[in-house]
Amino acid sequence: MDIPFELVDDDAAMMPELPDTSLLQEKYAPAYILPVVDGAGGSNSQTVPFKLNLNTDSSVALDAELDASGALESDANRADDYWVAYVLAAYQGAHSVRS
Amino acid sequence: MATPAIDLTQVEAVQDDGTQARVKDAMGNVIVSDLTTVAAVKASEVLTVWRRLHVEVDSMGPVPAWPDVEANEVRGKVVRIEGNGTMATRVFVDQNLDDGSPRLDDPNNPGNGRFENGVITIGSGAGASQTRALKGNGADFVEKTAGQGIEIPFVISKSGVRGSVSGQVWQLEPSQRQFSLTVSQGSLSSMYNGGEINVARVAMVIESIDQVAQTVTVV
Repeated sequence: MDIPFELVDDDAAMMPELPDTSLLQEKYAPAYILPVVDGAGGSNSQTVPFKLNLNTDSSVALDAELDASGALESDANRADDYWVAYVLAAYQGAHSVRS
Repeated sequence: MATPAIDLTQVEAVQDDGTQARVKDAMGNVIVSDLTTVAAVKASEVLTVWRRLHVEVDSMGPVPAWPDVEANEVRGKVVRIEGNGTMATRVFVDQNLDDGSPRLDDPNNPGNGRFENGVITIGSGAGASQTRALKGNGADFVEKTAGQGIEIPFVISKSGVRGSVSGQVWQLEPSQRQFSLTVSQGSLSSMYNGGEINVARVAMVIESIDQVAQTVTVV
């Protein structure tokens, strides 16, 4: 038996695709927080290695992902008087049904 | 006394919390903060402190191409086919389809799997057949929604025998090297023994045909 198959998901491969942050300012304003998408001293990169699925609650494993090449570069800048948030786009773009 | 004009248009934000933050005197009277009346004691507008939140925004890079382990594609061989008597409903493969997502065969983490609504192509070349909108997958199989089948066409022919037989494969039992068929054109008979069955354009030599059971055993 030598019948080949090829299997693909329905998600369209559209990466990289930076997330839409246009609502950040509006949504944080009631708390008197002004989000500034400035890389937090790092850079807003689009080359974080693609992962099919991150299936873990392990902080060690998650830290490893954040330490990946091009990922959370602003980590060292976090301080009480310098707040940093990190947003990583990991979805593949257009889709017909979420899966 | 004239009240000095103050331009407030440059103020970015003014707290708006109604009567919660107001300055009162010892008698409990609210001290006004308006700029138009003359008074011995005045309150300024509430001072609002804003915090800046510095945001780093990244994106994962392009999805790698097969055969990278993170590719959104799996290729391999079909090892078994299950069906409902007329159409194939499950196709088992020789590859691990588990990426940690909930899947059809995991009772502890049930779900439709990473290939929900995915596409399977069976066979090769121009004769390959494609089935879209899969229900999902288990660790080593994909499944179509109940009542719908996975397209696996076949054609049987033999040199010197006129005509051919075609239809769909609905089962493959690998230990017996046996295909169960739903015939839509032609008629199965032993005269095709020694001939050829093409399953999605993959050719195999026919060892025997069971006309009653509608099965073909290949060499």
